[in-house]
Amino acid sequence: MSVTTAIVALAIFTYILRVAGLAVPTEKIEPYASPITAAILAALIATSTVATDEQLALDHRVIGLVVAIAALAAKRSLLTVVVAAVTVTAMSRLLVG
Amino acid sequence: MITAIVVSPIITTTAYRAAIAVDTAPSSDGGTESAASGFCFLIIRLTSTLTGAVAGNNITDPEALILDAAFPAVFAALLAPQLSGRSARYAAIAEGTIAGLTVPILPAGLPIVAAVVAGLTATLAPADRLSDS
Repeated sequence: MSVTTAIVALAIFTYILRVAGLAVPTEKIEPYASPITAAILAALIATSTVATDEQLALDHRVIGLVVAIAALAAKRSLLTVVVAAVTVTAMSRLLVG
Repeated sequence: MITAIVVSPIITTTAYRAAIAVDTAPSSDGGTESAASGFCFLIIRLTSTLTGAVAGNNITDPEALILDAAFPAVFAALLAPQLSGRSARYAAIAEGTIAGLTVPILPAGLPIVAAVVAGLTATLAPADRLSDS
């Protein structure tokens, strides 16, 4: 299969997937909207914190997440939360190695 | 892998569509508003995907930019406003635990699907059945 054919096939397939999502009646999915998005975000937090190449790896990112949660509990803005988490992770990596 | 490719876009698109439906009140000008926002979404999405495809190849080590530490913080900041009640917080912790624990046993992408399926199953279970067990 040539690259062009693959791209066209992928485009059609992706389009069908998107339309499939839109085709579901809104009132049917409305009750599940918040639980699904919350679940996806919770799962993304977990996998982006403890997963490295499909393996579990507890490292300095965990400290960054704890700082982010603490900053969120203190009602800080998105930017403050991210900068605090990144700074603490970087410091932790620098100091502990 | 195939399952992850097929299932995750349907879930994310469905959730995205539902989120729009919940957040947007019926507009007075018919479909113009949603068409405009859809067009903006398309443009932003295409340009950022292109930027990511081009710039992503030049980032040799994400850890050097500490991007890997920024992702959990951004996701946590997005999740925080939705955790209004105690049960929502417990659900998020449970879903995160499921996703984390299934990372070594499931192919990439599927831990998230597993967490969503588990979370939805618990949400849909009748409350009396949960309290009985």
